[in-house]
Amino acid sequence: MSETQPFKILVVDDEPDLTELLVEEIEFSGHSAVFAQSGNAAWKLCEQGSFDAVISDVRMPDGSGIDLLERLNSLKESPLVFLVSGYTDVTPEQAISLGAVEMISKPYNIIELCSYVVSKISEHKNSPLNKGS
Amino acid sequence: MTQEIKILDRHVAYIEIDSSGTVKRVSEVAQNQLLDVSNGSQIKEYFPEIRLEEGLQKLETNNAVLLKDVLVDIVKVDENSFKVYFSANTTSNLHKHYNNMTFAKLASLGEMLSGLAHEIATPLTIIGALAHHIEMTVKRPPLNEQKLLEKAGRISKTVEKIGDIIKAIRKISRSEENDDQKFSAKVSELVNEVLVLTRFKITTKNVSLDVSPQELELECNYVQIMQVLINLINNASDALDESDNNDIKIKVYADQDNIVFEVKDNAGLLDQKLSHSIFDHNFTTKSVGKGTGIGLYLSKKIVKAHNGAITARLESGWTVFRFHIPKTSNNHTGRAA
Repeated sequence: MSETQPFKILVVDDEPDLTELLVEEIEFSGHSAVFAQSGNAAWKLCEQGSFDAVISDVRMPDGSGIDLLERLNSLKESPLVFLVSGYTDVTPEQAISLGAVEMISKPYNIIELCSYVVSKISEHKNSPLNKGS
Repeated sequence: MTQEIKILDRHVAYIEIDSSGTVKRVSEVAQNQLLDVSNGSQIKEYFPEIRLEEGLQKLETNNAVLLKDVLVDIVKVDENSFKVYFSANTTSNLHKHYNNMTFAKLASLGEMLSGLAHEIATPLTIIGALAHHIEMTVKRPPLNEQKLLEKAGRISKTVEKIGDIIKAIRKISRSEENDDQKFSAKVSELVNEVLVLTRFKITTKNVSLDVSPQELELECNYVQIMQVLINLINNASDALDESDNNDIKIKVYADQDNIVFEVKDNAGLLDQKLSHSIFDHNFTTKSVGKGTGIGLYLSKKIVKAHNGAITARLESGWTVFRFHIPKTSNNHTGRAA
């Protein structure tokens, strides 16, 4: 699998302006993105199709990012999950121990976040363990 | 003042104040035991129950509630000087009480600051992204002016959101020195500012708001009523965190003489038998480290200072905190928090 292949990324945040801008940025960098505004809505999308990565806010009405992460862990092939939060109620260590790739604090630079997520997906896909998967 | 203590030796714990309540001197014993009292501060900061009225001509202490275990006497030294005495063996209770109050305030302030940091972080991320998009739009001809204007408009809108948060922070952190005054306030505005400040707590909850009619006005101490509502909403949110339900209903309406505020949740955690003691000082049902037992106590004091009343009831599975305040309050304006 080539690392230049467009990746499919799911953006989850209850702030519509933010999801829209993130989706635009991901698409601008040559990948595809869809968004959901709650953990439960995101889970429905994950049941319908697979994603290479999920960028999810932690605190949202109707299903938190943590709930979503736990559900995603139950999938046979779970996407890479990047949690995003401005709160201190989940530490980066806790997020990682729950299976997230990283906990990203708000405010963040949207361009840097996108390129970081894309680089992590490439890294993951090119790792010997996942080659051919 | 019904009790008089005559302790005249130099080991006495007392604080000397002027007629405005400003601390002029703290005796050595008081200094050792009430470490935070300093010259120039206000006596009410430490002992909110002490009421200074008519230039101390009618200085009185309402020690039945706050100072029930502590003997207090206030002696007039001259026209502009008073000594507030405490029995030395009980000042440690006062110190403990003061520390609890300070802890409670700092704990809720810390939580609120953390939440507000997030509330500001999200719009800042949006502004950063929009600025980047504008940059890209300019760099990639042909120039799409409409797109630029749209992005700039969204930046302005997002800045307004941050402005609303800062406005609410300013209101709630306004100097308490000036807090004794009451003004006519628009209730819907007050409630909206409370929602801005509590959004970080209730963002995961189903919150419904009903202020009817929208034009409701109330003569009140704006900041104090905000404090009561913030406290009730935070409590509802904490209760819901421990239950499988998720609903908070906030309702404000008017009856003939009063404005009535209701905050209810369906966590179902209120024990009807405890609904009276819930307003007692140091009473908490929250887990260790979470509840300070001061929020509802202060809320009741604030409502009482507005000539109103507050109740906690279990109604059809809902925990309902309801307080009313006379539309036009002619009550005393002692600082309640």
